[in-house]
Amino acid sequence: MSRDMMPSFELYQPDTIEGAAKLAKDVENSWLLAGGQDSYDWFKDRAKHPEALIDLGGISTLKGIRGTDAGVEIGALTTLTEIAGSELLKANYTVLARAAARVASPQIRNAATLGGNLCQDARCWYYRAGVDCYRAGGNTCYADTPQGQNREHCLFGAARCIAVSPSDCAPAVVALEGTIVIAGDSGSREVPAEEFFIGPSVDITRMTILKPGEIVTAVRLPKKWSGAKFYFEKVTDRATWDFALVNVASAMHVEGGTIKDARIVCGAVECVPRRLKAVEQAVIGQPQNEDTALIAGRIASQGATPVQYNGYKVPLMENLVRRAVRDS
Amino acid sequence: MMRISRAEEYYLGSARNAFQGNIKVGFDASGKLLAADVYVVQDSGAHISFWDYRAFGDALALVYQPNAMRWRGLPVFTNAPTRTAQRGPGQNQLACIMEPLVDRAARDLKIDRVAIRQKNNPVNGSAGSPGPDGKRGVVPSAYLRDALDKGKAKFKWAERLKRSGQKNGPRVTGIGVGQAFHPSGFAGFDGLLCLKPDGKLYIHTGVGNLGTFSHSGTSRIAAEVLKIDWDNCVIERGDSRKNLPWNIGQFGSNTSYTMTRTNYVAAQDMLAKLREIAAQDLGGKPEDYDVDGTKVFSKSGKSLSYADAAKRAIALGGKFDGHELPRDINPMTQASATALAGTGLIGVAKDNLPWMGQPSAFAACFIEIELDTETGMHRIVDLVSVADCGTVIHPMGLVTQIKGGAVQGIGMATLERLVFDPQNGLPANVGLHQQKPPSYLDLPTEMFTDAVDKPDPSNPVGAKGIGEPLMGASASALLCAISDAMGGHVFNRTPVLPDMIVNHFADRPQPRKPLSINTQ
Repeated sequence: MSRDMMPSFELYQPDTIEGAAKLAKDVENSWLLAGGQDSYDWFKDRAKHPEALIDLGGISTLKGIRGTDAGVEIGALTTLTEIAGSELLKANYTVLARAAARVASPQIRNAATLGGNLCQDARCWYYRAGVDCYRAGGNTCYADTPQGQNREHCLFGAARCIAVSPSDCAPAVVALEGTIVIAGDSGSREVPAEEFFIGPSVDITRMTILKPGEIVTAVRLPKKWSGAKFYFEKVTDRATWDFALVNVASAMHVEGGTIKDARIVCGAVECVPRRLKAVEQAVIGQPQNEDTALIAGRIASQGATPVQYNGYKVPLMENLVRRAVRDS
Repeated sequence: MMRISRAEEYYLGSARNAFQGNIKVGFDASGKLLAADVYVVQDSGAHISFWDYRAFGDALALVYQPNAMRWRGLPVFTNAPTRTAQRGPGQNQLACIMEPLVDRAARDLKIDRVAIRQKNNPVNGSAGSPGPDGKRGVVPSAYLRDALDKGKAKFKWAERLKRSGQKNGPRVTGIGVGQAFHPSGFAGFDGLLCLKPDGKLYIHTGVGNLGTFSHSGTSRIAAEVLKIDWDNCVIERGDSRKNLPWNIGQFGSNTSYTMTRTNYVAAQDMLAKLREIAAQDLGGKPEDYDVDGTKVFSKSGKSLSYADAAKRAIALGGKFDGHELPRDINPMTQASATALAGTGLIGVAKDNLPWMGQPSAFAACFIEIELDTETGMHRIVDLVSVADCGTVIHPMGLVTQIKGGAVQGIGMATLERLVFDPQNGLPANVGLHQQKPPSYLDLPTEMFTDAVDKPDPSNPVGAKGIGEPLMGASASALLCAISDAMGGHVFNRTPVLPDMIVNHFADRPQPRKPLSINTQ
């Protein structure tokens, strides 16, 4: 339950990734902190109780947007404001800049980081209230009941838990075929963003493949999609601040009016950003027009299993995918 | 410092009373409301709540003046979070329920939507809300028709109506008008002033400050009666050690009306005493004297400065310096005036001005939206809100009141709701971001405001209350604009959310049961 009071904790401020990784391994019950926009909620609500915070904010190599031979590398601690305003990203990877610009509010974007946005935990209000649901280690799902308030929950991939991926940047990074660079105690590895996010059937207590103590250091975007036709849209109750009811991110290569390649991803419909491979296959080779968009929309929601209050996400998702194909 | 979390507010604080019920209204071909039949069941939460259900019926009787009406209200206790009076308790629920129905009648009868409202609006002297004995008083002033006219002109109603239903891809233009009412004033409280030997007027006021600074706006009436420069006035407020009179609490859009009356009667008392002192010292009769803000003087050229009059009051004692007090003032005022006794010329009186009937504030609002039928989201293109608040006593404060009310109405119509899981008794929207007050981006770039600015005859400066109807007016105007964009009245519930709109256009059933009031 929300208690609005920050508990005390030890604070570590390493200035190297190696130092942070070592601290994460050595300090018991520690928590890696980026912008804090997810973490502080947990602490104030007393739903998570770390004894020590490892603040990554002092590690300069985790910040900044750099052009590389392979594309672009974005430090995990780059703020969403910086991403939204980056000329490099706006020119070549607009979909990510637009997604970052639609996250929460300007104040939150000033502090929130790309790494944090990708790694944030489920926003299911039951889970956040600190109940003993499956995700929290208990043996029930409070949201998936006849009277459960599940307007914001998932259409796909339910497996005891029906929470969704709340991130706006995650669908954009998956659409751009991005990779996530992860540092750990034994070195670093790079994984496709699509494999970075995991659903409850893989591990119900985590949203990503990160193991305890591992740190996301960067996001890499390949040149393949640089300068493609992009689309991002997020539907919310308010014009700002809210998490997505549904969002969509897409990248398409279109030549002579024909879609040559496409990646289309929806957020807030599954516990992971949902890549719509069937839609992609259906639109590749087709003209970019209303007819193709209509078919794309219809295919998008196939297999959806809505719960009591989230049936609207089916047509909403269809409409957004249709717009992504038609209007990008 | 005591901190209360949002979750704790679910049992320490309280929400607006939730209504379920039915309403049946019948109009004649000209748009006159002939009859209304209303049954409201109110979820009062776990403790004794407020009479929103009654205010709903009262407001309907007044705002729409039906020829015949049956109203039934049933408040029930539930094991849900506590409820109480929120802005426009009952009246603003009425606006949200009734205004879209008036639009529906206008559409069916092919009558202009503003015209059908004006056809039924009360006017000065119309029958007011029925009292517990069933008898109806009169409304001292009602300029809702004027407010609609002013708003209509400013909004360019006829021009905009041409855009109603206009499509731009998936986006449809909706035009809406809404109106609301709130009772806006009490009488019988006390005013207390002290003119001190430093020549300054000390205005003692119990008005709090909810951010409206109406403690100043309502004190100016005393300065105006005594014609004293505002720079020579000191407002004593905000601390009971400052010897404050028995005043109304700052709530329910009552301050402007009630406190201008009390300051007026206290200033009149002081004015009479100034004349009396001058006549005693300088000769002649009290009525030979007038004031100019610095002195009390006669046409023959005799005068006594305010500072000297204050000294004379202290020397004379008795009623002049507060040692003798009117018997009808409240004991709290007596205590405060007694504490001030001997420090200057005291003006103190109970507001015994005539009561002409329940003072009534009204508001009208006009909104244009662009509704995205594929996402359910809307954008407010323009908003014009007009208050019938009697004489405008503080133009800047009024603009803030109008805009503030409009913003809250937008929240009421499309965002804010109390959500809980009834099976587990869990409150859902415990964070501010989940509570969803409107943000800047949910508002039009500019909001236009105006006031009828016609005096209420039952107030010495013509003032009435302001705030609450502005919320109901904007809430109902927005609901009507959404209905307009959707081609007619669709939803019998508020708030209207994007998912409801998406479901409607996708021909999907709405998941919320008619009587569920706890849903996201």
